Amino acid sequence: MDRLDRMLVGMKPEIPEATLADRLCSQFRHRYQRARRMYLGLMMVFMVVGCSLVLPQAFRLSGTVDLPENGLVVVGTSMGAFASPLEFWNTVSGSIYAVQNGLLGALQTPFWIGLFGLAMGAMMGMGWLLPTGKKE
Amino acid sequence: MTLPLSVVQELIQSAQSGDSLAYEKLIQAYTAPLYRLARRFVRDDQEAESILQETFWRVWQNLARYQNDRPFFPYLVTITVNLVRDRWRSSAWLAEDDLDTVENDPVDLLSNPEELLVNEEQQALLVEAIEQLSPHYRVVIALRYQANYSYEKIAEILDLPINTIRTHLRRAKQALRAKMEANNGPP
Repeated sequence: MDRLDRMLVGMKPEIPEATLADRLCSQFRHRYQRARRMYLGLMMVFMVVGCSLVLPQAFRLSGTVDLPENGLVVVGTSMGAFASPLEFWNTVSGSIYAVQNGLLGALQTPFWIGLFGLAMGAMMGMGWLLPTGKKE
Repeated sequence: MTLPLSVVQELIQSAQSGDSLAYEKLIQAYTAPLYRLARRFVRDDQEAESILQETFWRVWQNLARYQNDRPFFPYLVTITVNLVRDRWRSSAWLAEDDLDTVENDPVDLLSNPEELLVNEEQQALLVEAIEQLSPHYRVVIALRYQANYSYEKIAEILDLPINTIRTHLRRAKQALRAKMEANNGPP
């Protein structure tokens, strides 16, 4: 250990201003609140845009699906599964296919964009509500 | 203000759960030691404060990924050093061609405490000489002599080979000697 080493070790540390820690806390607080506001704002934008794109088309979908007048028809058809399972399966799969085609045909691009926006908003909302720690 | 390890871990855990007040307590506790180090990395108080502000914000943003069983201060130092390096990115930083064989003699920094006393004038000259050093030399000097870290720890923080750290330290001291000799005679 030469003289320069001793001088470097013995060098007086820089003393921070007494108010520095408070100032840093205050800066952190402001930044944190601003980030929270931005996060909340962005989440609201996603939710509102998502809803406004999804809901109109979602309401229109009710006209696309032909619902039975009462549940008895459904029960009756279900009982037919025991009598002729193959025919029942063909009916059910055909119906599902028709409903799927009808729905997909009725949904346009804005709906999917809206759904994506809603999902983003929901994810951000979850991140907002749930604790951030212990993710490992 | 030095907090016991268990308190620090508790505060970190609370902060990881989103408690910003717990994090502010950590800021209060670590401002002084981190400032002492950061002030050696940079040339003026405002820059040191700005670095600290950015460090605490970055740590807060990444706190969820921090493993609470690791010591917190070296983690802060690593983030600080990375920020300082980002600011100096334009200048050549720790070029790999600095690698060469150097002395392998870790010094006992705590021996003969009475010898540590140096006069005020020489201290002022030393501080001035350190501030004239290039940034990467200042960082290595500060980590070695201010934070009292081992070569291994410095290498880990700077993410560089240990021999590079030794080289930089040796060259930094050579530069310091030259500057002090030019100003005042040999140290």
